[in-house]
Amino acid sequence: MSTGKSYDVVVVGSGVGGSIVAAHLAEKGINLRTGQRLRVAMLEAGPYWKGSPRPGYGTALRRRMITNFISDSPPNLWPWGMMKIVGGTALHAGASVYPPYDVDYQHWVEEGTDWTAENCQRAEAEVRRMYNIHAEPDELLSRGNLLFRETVRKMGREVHQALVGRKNCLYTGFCEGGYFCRYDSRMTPLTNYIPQAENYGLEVIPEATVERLIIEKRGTRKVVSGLVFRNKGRAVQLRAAKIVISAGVVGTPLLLYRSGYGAREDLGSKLIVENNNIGKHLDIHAAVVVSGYFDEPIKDGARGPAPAGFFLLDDAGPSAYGRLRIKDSGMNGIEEPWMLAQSPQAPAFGREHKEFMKKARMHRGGILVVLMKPEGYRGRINLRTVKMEYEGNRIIEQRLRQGGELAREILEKMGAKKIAGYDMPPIYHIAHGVSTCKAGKDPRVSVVNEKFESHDIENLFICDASVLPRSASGDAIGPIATVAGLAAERIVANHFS
Amino acid sequence: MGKKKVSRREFLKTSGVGPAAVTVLAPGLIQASQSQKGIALQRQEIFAALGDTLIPTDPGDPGYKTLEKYKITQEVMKGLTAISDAELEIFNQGSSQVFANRGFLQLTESQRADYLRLIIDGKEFSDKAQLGTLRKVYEQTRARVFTVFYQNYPENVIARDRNGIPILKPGDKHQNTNPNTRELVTGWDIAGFKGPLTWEEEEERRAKFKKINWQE
Repeated sequence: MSTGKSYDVVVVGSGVGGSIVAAHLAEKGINLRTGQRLRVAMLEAGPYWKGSPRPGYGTALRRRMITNFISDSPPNLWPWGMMKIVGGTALHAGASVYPPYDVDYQHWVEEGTDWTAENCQRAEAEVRRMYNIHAEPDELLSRGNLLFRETVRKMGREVHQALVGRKNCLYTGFCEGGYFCRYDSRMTPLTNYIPQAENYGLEVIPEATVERLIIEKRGTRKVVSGLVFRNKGRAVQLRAAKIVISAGVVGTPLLLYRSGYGAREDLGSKLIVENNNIGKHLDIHAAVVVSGYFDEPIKDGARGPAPAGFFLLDDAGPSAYGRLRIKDSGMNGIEEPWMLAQSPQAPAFGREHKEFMKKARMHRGGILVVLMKPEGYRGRINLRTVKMEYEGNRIIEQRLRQGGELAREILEKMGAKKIAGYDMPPIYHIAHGVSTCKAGKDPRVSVVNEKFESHDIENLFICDASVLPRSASGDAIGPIATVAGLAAERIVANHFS
Repeated sequence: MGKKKVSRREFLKTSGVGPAAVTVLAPGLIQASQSQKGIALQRQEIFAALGDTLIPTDPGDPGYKTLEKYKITQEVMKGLTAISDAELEIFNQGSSQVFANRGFLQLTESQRADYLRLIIDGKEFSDKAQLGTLRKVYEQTRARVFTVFYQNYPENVIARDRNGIPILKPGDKHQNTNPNTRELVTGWDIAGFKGPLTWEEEEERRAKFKKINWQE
């Protein structure tokens, strides 16, 4: 094993959480012993498609890589479906970004943190600016979007305008077929944080898969002092005064588990440091998709605007109990033909099916019903098999059934026919999952404290989706970015200033 | 089973379909034995016929059969290995009980479509195991045929050089690699899907959106 450099801080993972923390540490952190700027490295398992992306144009290398990404992607996929790449893929598809709602902050406080709206105010403002969060003007929306808004208003419900984090979008819908924007219009750490951070000395180490942390026992204390990563088959050891893990809702607990940090029942004789919450408390967004067919076109053409539009929120009780978000996600953009061919509105086969294929791309619309606040149930990541274990419960199923019925009613009032999907079983997906290394004051039910420090191992921090104590009311990216900003502030204030 | 010749009965037994499958086959149509080559050939014929029924071809309206010269059935079959030869034979012979002892391959085009409708409806087949097999063959083949055809076969693969680098059109400085051509009518063309834009198309869109929502 070769020995690499020594750093003040090593950040593991270059997604939203890791990039924001690394960028702030590189810019603002001071080594208290030397008085110099911190030496910070950020490790990423995937490649670095470097360049100076210009939103709306992209760069030559990135355009080629992204255009061909789908066929090239399998080697760069994690087993749970997310991609390995510098900048991460958390902001995928249509680039929906929602800062935390007031009720989300309230829930995080109820779960044992001090992450209030007031404490996160600065970080949230930065996220709004860096991600260029905005709603889009009506002239960019489709007939389906506008019809959805009009219908929901007529039903006496409040309509909210969807938010996106992008700049100079060409509205080709390309990102709906893959995770990336070949024009670099979607805001990612690669465009908004990493280039600046490199100017402050951040060292990005791509294609570095971290195998384990080095945890030393010093008397009764446990201290992390470095890590081992693999690069092109070669094992490399790094030393670091502090390590921040930002490998995501699955990757983070998995790395801790591989390092001997976790539940006794999972690790057995490999246990080095015990914490029964690692990989547990998984909170996700469960969903159903309701779709229908319209006699008149509801979309704008072969390649129309990517998702924006409108949504309504439906709560089953006070404090956003059982909150549903019902969004016109399928009222614009494009649909890949092979998916359209197998949609519930498509005839079974034959000439009728072929005629459907010739015109349906502008006539089929959908509503995405997402249970943002599942109640009374948490899943887990099985760290031995690297599988999500999430069965849901009756409350979750009933709320989604109610949401499906509401979506069906909206589609009917919009004039849709052949409405399908409202009575289907919920879709449970890891995409917006949080809380597998939950933050909180009480070490018995959490992994890190509100300063993002491990309860059990000195010099170890965690900052990504895994620390969020509860699902938010919008997509996960805004809350992750906001909390990462808070983490950076606190780590700098408590250790490096 | 190797290369040795096996009886239909032996075949069904070893492939785990067993008596339930045998009961649904019209005895007069079961041949005593068939070579592996024959089975493979018939397998291809059945999937090709199914593909043609699912996406018909008419004069001036290309469909599945138009792409046979590009070996679409061979591509389709790569994703249908979960359907055993025995199950496919049950599917082939299942039509004999409603179409006067005629197997699927012996049916006319409209009869094949009627047979698929009967499978979807299910009422004509009282044996649940048989119906399950018929539906499995139909549903899996449908999904695979639609996926291959509408993912733009055979213009679904970007040409690459020996090092795996996509080959660009001469003079293309913008890395626009779109395998679709105007030389052949594919699934994308039928569905009006264009794939990645050319630089000129991008420029048109930039000009449009610079007037609406642009920050430089």
